[in-house]
Formats: sequence, structure tokens, C-alpha cells
Amino acid sequence: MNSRIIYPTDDGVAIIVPADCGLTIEQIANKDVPAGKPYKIVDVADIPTDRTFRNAWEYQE
Amino acid sequence: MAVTLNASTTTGLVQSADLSGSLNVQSNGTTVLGVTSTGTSVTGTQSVSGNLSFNSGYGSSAVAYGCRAWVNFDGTGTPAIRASGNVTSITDNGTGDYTVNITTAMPDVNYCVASVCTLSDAVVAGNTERGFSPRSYTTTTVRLLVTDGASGVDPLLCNVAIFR
Repeated sequence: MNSRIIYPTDDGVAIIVPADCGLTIEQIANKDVPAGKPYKIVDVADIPTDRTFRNAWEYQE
Repeated sequence: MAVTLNASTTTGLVQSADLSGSLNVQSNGTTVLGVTSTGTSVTGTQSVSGNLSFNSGYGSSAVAYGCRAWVNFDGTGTPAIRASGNVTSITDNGTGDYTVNITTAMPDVNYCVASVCTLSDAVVAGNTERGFSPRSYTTTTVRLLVTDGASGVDPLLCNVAIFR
């Protein structure tokens, strides 16, 4: 899958990497995003590959 | 050849016989169970409601405990799952901080997580393997941290297997 699911956490942003499990990205979001959290589905190309400051990343609405 | 018992969807039970000493059980013409003097072969999905026991070099037939979920992923660059079973996704929580999200829930939170990761796939001097500490067990998630001393690190090769 070339999509990722992002949602805010207390420490920054979490990024869900979907497995090839037969579920759609929306179904995975419904299952794996913590209840009540806003989330966005983004293209994998939108996720930075330089993780030097990974813990400083923030979620933007 | 073999003795054949076929559960046909058009004619019901179809059977044939010979003197081979072998038996095939078929579902609408497809053999799902074969029995010979040397053993049995089974095709298709199997569902065992009781315990599964086998010998296979163990010394005696004993109950086998299965891997209920597993995932192999790359934690560097853009983390990606190479392959998995009974896993819907991993969550990248931060540097060296991941959650494995399980498809079919575990019956409780007392399962065993076997995990290991390495920072490099090169064969070099020095220890590049790191412990992959599981914590925060729920029936559908387990969180794992990779640290290099006090700091989290992103591992190249991550392997997690869950047994119950």
C-alpha cells in the first residue's frame, strides 16, 4: 500500500504503516487509530524519509 | 489409482474402488484427503478445534503451540512492512518506537512476544543487534521499543512473532 495514516499523539505524530492484510486503508484506520483521534490518510511520498528529528514531527490539521 | 469417495454436488456420493490400498476423499471431484500406507496428505484450509500434536523429530507426539501473529519490517527511512501474518499494520510512534496492530485479537494479554532487530544487515565487527522490548500488551496491540543505551534508534531489520 502506498498510503499511510497519521494522527496526533501527546508526543507528536504517529504514522500507521498498513500491512497487506486484505483490509482497505479506511478499515485499517477504523481499527488501528485510537478511538476519538483525528486522522488523515496521506500518500507515502508525503512522509519525510529523513528521520533525524523524527520525535520533533508534529501533526497539522 | 485409489479407492475414491467423492461428495458430488450433482450426484451425491460417488465411489470407486481398486486394490491399490490407497484412499482419496474428494469434494466435488477435488481430493482433499489422501491416505496411503505411508501416511496422509491433506489439501485446503484445515481447522483443528482441539490441540494439534506432532512428533517431527521432537521424540514423541506433543502439543505444538503456534505463532499467532508475526511481522517483518524496516524501521528506517520510510518504515515499511516486508511481510506479515495476522497483522493489520504497525504504528511508527517515534524513533525506535513501534506498535504492532493484530488482526484477530489474542484471547488475553499473556501471550509471548519474541522480537529482535538489527541496525544493519552488513556482516561487520561489533554488535548491531538490539533488544526490541515489548510492553503495553493489549489483546490487539503490543508496543516495542528499540534503544541504544538511553536513546531510541530506528532499526533496519525488525522481526516480531507472537505466540499463544
